[in-house]
Amino acid sequence: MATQKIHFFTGKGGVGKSVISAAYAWSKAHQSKKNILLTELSEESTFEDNLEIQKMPKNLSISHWNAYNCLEEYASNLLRSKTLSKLFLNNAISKALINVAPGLEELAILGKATSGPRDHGPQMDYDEIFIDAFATGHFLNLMQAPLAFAEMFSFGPMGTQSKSIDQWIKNPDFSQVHIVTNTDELSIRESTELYKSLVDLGIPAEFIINKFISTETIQFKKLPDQTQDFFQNIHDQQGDALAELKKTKAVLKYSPYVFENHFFNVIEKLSKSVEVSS
Amino acid sequence: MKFQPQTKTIIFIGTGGVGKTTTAAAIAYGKAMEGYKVLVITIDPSKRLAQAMNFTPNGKVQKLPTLKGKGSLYASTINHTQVFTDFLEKASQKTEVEKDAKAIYKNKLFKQLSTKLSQSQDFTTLFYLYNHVESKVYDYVILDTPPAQHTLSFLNAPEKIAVLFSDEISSWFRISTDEETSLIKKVLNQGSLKVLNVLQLLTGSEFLNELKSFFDRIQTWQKPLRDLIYDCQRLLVSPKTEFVLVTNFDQHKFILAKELSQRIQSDGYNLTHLIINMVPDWLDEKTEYKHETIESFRKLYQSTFKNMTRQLSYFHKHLNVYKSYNLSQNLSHADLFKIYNQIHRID
Repeated sequence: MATQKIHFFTGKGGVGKSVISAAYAWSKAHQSKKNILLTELSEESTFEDNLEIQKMPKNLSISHWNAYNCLEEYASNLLRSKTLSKLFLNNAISKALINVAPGLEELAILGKATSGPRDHGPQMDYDEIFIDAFATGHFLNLMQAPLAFAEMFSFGPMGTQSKSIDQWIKNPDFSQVHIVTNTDELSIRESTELYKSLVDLGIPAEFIINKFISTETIQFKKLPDQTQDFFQNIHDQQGDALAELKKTKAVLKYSPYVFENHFFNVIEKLSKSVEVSS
Repeated sequence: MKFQPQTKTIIFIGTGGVGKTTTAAAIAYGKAMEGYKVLVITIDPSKRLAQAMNFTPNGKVQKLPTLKGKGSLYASTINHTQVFTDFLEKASQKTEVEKDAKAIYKNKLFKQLSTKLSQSQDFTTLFYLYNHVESKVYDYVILDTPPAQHTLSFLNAPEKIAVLFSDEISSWFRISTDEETSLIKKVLNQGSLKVLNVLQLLTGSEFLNELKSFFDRIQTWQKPLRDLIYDCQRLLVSPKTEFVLVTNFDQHKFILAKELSQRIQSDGYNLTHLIINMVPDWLDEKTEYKHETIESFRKLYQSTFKNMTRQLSYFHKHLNVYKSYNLSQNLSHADLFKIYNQIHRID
């Protein structure tokens, strides 16, 4: 069964991309019989270290992808030899190559994410993939890489693959981008700028406001000074944020503040409140 | 807040959204008020902070109005594209054949590489910092770094870029003419030829040719670039550089901060201070008025206090620990100095 859908979660550093992507993947696995993969783009895996997998649905798998393992998989699939691909990647030349051709890292990752519908490269047994992707600027680089490569190298396998990857990440039926944001000014600025850049690239996106706090019914004047400052600040900040986000006309989703200390408990609670579109 | 007498550079690190930029600005204000000449380099100030500081984020160093005091305060954001060009120019001035160095600008891979390097901001930030510290104009140069996962990528930036200019690797690719090719083929062993063949199969010959030309052209640059990169690297581990870690009053972020501090210290960086931001002193205020949201926060923070005790004792052993509190929404010029004054040590 080829992958039918991929979800990218991005946003400013520290806004809770990991928590939201995990909650969304969990919720989807819980509500459907599909095979779901939750993966993160990183050298080391926070999910493998911090999630209690035995408490999560059986149809949910966890992994982490980095440029190196994506390239290795791709090479061994194309060369039909693990030994040859190891020889290819485990040497100074190839390591330098990955450094010099920066788009290559991005291309390897997106190549893997879109290998299902493109029927090229190693196939994965997942119906939907939830990717805890890079933060804003780096994420934009990621999404720009295939087109940049296709334009640079119009001939040869690199050019052909880049073009087809570019088409699939711009297909809204297959690929969805979720911009996770908090309500502080910097998060909102980065999020809306990213949104505009993505739209310019031809990639639609939605916003997920993380840690939204319900303040409407608080009677601020009844609170002592410092407490009042704290909650009034949250209230004002959220108001400003919503006004900015609404200007974009994009879909807005709310993810409530979870009053829990542990990373895993936060994800578990959130997974129950997430609205997942089919 | 006190720094070591020899300290010239103060680098703020920590995860995103913990108030690092505001804290760095507040400390810059404080140090200027104490009589020092201070430059604060900030990555991306919020509009409110920029307004409060009365400063235009345009990539240039500006003198800021301070409250009464003997010192002076300067601030700057970074124009990464400009800084990267400056970096290349500085390196190419040191090469004997300046023209040769310029030829590389046309290489497709180089264009992509320079875009990426200036966009990733790690190396350009470091180079900008290095230039200002080297200029010896300021008593303190304060840097607010990009967020956390990037703290490590920021610190590894010199190493990453240095790999590109290592002789060993570029010589593999330096096959520019046909006569040379045959000569080099003799020198290269079988294994490496196989690698080049595989590379051609995977990427196509157009790509490989650009790659060869990249390494060919970079030859004259190699040494000056590498020297400059090492100078930047040395600044990071210098005993005159101190690191300040900022975290929020949030259990998960606190754990991340501990991991980061262990890593940074074991890698030999001079991490000395921890600032815990947003410590909720308002919990001590008494009120009859109850609201679900407020009570939920109260309960959460009380348990956070309890759970943090163990980590705190770790931090106390290794760092000077401070607490701070600043609100994002209404920030004024005078507030920054107030923020500086309320940062105090906890034992």
